[in-house]
Amino acid sequence: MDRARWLIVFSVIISMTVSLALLKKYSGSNVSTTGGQQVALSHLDLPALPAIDDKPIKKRAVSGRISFPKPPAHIFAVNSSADNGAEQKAFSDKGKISE
Amino acid sequence: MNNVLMDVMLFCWMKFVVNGPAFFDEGAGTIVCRVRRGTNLQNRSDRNCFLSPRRGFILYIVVTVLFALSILAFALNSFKQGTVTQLARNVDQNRLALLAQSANAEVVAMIRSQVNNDRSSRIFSKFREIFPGWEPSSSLNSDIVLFSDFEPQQTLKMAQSAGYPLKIKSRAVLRIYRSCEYSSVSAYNGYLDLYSQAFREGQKENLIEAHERRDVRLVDLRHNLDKYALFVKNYSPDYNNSVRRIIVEGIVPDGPNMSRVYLGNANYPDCLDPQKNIWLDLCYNEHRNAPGFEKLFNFSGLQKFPDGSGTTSLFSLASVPFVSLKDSEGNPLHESRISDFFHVQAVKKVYEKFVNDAADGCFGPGKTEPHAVGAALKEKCKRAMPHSNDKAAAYQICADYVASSNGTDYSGCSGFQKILQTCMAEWKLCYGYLDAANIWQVTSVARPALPDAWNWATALAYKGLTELNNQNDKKGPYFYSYLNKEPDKAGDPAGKIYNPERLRVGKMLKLFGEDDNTPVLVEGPVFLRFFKIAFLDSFEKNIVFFDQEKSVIPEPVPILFNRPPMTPVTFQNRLLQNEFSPSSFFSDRFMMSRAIDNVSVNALLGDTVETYDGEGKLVSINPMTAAAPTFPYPRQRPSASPVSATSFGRLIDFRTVSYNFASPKEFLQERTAMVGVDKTLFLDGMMYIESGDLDLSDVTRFHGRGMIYLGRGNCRIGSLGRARSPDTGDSLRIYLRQGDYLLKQAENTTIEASLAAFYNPPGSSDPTNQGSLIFNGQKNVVIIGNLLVDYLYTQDKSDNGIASGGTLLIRHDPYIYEPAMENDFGKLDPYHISIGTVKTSFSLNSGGKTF
Repeated sequence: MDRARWLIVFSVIISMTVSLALLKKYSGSNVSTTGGQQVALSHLDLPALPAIDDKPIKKRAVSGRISFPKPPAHIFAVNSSADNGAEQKAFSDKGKISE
Repeated sequence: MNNVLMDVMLFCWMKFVVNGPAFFDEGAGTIVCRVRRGTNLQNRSDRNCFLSPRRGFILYIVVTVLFALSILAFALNSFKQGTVTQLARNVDQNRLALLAQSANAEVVAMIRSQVNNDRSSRIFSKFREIFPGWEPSSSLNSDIVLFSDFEPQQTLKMAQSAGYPLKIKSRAVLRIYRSCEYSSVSAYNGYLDLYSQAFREGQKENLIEAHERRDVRLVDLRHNLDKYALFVKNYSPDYNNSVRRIIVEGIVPDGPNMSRVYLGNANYPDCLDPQKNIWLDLCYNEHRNAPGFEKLFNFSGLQKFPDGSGTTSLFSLASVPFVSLKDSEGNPLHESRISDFFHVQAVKKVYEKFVNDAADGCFGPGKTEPHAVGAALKEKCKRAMPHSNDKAAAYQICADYVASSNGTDYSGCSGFQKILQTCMAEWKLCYGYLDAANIWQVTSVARPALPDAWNWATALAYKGLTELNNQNDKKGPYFYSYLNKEPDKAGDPAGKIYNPERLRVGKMLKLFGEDDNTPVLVEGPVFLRFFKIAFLDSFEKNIVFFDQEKSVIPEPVPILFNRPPMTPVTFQNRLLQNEFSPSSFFSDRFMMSRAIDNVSVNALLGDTVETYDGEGKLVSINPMTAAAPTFPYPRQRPSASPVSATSFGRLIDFRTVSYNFASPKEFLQERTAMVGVDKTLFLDGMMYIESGDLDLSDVTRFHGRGMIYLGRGNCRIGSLGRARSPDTGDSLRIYLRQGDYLLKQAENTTIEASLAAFYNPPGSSDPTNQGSLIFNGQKNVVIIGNLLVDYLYTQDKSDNGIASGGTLLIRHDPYIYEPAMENDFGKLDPYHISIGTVKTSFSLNSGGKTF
C-alpha cells in the first residue's frame, strides 16, 4: 500500500479514538465502584479476636482491694406465687414447656 | 468545547458535500484524469491515471462513514445527556443511601462496642439511666438522646477514599418502654432509633436520610441467688461425707458482704423424727480457729479424760459430784431418783460379788461355787445358808438377798441399797465434748455402712455412744436409738425408722474454704453437731457391810445414750437442773453421752456478724446467742412472711430475653466459634434455649457477659473458663429449668461459671425431677462461681458421684457475688445491654430530614 492509504487508516483510527474519548469524557459518569470500597476497607480497623487469658483459672485472684456496694432493692425480692404463675403461663404460651 | 468541535465538523461536512471527491483532490493535490467510458488503459501511467479517482472515492466513502458516525455519536451524546445526568443522580442517591446505611451500621457497631465495655463513654452512661439508682435517671417512655450530629468517621473515611466529598451525620435516640413485671428481676425493653444523613458538600438539597430501629434489652444480671455460694433446696445426705468432701470457699468477707450457703430439707426422707434437720459435724482440726469455737467450749487446749486413757481429743472436760445433781424440780437425784439407778450394772456387779462372796463364806473354807447372778444366785444362797451361823454377816447378806431379790432386780435388798448409796455419795460424773471424727472412724467407712468406733472409745468408761450389745443390735446406743422403729411415746405412730439421717456422722462440708479462712453465713434448718461422752467414774471406798468392812471398787459407769424424748424417762435422758455446758452458748442438761445438735452452725462465726436483712438494712446479729437455726429461710423480702426455699428460682421474662433459640444446636452454631485452639462461647445478655440437651463439653472459653437459660434439657459440661480477665466483667450463668448438669469425664474439671439447676418452682418431690450435678466419677471438681441445685449427692451408688477421695470445691466468684463490685480497676458493671441484630424498622428519606 502506499503512504496515503496508511494515512487514511491511521486517521480513521485516530478519529475513532478521539470520538470515543470525547464521548466518555462528556457522558457524565465517573463512578469507580469497586476500587473505592477496596481502598476504604483496607483502612478499616477490624475488631481483634478476643484474647485468651492463659492464666490458670485456679490461680486467678481478685486483684487488690475490693469493695461491694449496697445491694439493690430487687436483690431481696422473692418470687411471689403470682410471679411464678405468670412465668408458668408465659412458658406454656411461649416457651413451649409442658409440665 | 463541544460546540466548537461541532462547528468545525459541520463546516468540513458542508464543504465535503459541496465539493464531493474533489474535496480530497484539492486537499491531496492529486492530478485527476478524466477518462471517457470504454477507453482501455494500456500502460502503468494510464492505470495510475484511472486509479487516482477510485482511490479518492474510497476515501470519500470512508470519510463519509466517519462523519456519519461522528454525527451519530454527537447526536447520541446530546440525546442521552439528560438521561445520563438523571442516571448519575440516581447513582449518586444510591451511593448516598448506601453511605447513610453504612453510617447507621457504624453507629450500631460503635454503640455495641461502648455500651458494655467503655465505662467512660456517654453511651455507656445513657443506656443505664433507666436502672434504679443511676444518676442522672430517666423514666420509661422518654426519649434518651444518645447523640446528634455525630460524624461516623469510618464511613466518612471510606467515602473520601473513594473520592466522594460527602457530609454524613448521625443521631441515635433510645426509648425504654417496658420494665419486667417480676419484682425479683430488673430488666427493661427498649428500642434504638438511628438516623443518618448523607449529602454532598454544597448540595445539601440532595440529601438522603436512612432510619433504622433496633430492639434493645437491658438487664441487671444481679439476683438474690448470686449471693449464695451453694444453695441446695432438698435434703442431701452427703454434707458430712468425709471421703468425698464438699468444700465451700466464700468471698473474702467485707463488712456485711459475706457469702451465704442455703441447705434445705425439702423432700426429707419419711421418718418418725419430728426434727427433720441437717446436722453438720464439727471437726476440731478444721474449726479450731473459727471465732466461735473457743467461746463455744471455753476452750483452752485439748484434753483427755483424767485416768490417762483415751486420746487427747476433748474440747472441754469437767466432772461434777453425783450428789450435786438435781432433777428439773430441784430435788437431788440421790434422794428423789434412787430408783432410776437400780439397774446400773456397775452397782449390781458390786452387790452380786458381795453376795457371791457371802455365799461362798457360808459354805466354809475351801468350798466355793461358781459366780452366779439373779435367781441362780438366790439358789446358791439357799444352798449356802444352812452351812452357816445365822448371826454371821455372810448369812445375813444371803438372807437379805433371798428375801428381797427378784430375779436381777435387787432394789429391795438392803445390801444393794447401801452399795448404791455409797456409789452415789462417791461418784463423780465426768464428761467431755469432742467431735465425731474422734469417736468413729469416719474416713474409712464405705457408706451407707456405719462407721466403727476408734479403739479408745470402746473402753468401758467411754462406751456411752458406742457400746455394742444385743440390746442395741450391736450398733451402739447412739445409732440404734435412731435406727429402731419405736416411737417416743407408747401409742405414737410407729412402723418407720426413727431417723436414719442422724446416723450420717463424719466431718461437715468445709464451709470456710480450703484454708478455713473464708467464713460463710449458713441458712436453712442447719445445726452444728458435736458429741459428749459421759460416765460415772470409778472410786474405792471401804464400807461396813453387814458388820464386815468391805472395799467397794465399782467399775466406771458409761452413761449410755437414750433418745432424749423417749419415754419412760431414765436417768440418762432425764432433764436435770444442772447445766453441764462449759459456756452459755449451748445447753446440756442431760447426764448421758449424747450428741449436742441444737447449736446453730453460724455460732462458729463468733458473736458478731454484720449482714443485710431481707429489707436490705444493715443488721448486726450474734449467732451464738440467737435462736437456732439462725436463718430458717433464705433471706428475702418481705422478711415478716417468709416463703419456703422451694419457691426460689430465677424467673425468666421472655420479652427481655435477647436471644431465643429453639434448640441447643442453633445456639451453638450461632454463639460459638473457634478462637485459636479454644472453642469459645460468645455471650450477650439473657439467652433462652427452648429445649434439648446442651453440650458444652468441648467449649473451653467464654467471652462476654450473660446467662444461658435452658427451658428443658440437661447440660453436659467440662472445663470452661473466661477468655479474658475477670476484671472485664465477663461472667457466665447457666440456668437449667428442667435438667441436670452432667460433667464430662475427666480427672479434674474446673468450671468458671454460676451453675443453677432448679426444677421449675416450687420444685418436685419426684427424684427424676430434681436439678442436680452428676459427677460421673470425677476426682476433683472446681466450680468458680456458685452452685444452685435442688439436690446434691457426692456419693452415689452408681458412678454418678465423686470418686473416693475426691472433692467438690465451690469457690464463690466475687464477680458473681456482686457484679457491681469495685476493685483496683474501678467499679464493675452489673448491667448488660443487648442491641438487636435485626432491624425491626427501616426507611429511606430523600430530601426530607428529621434533625
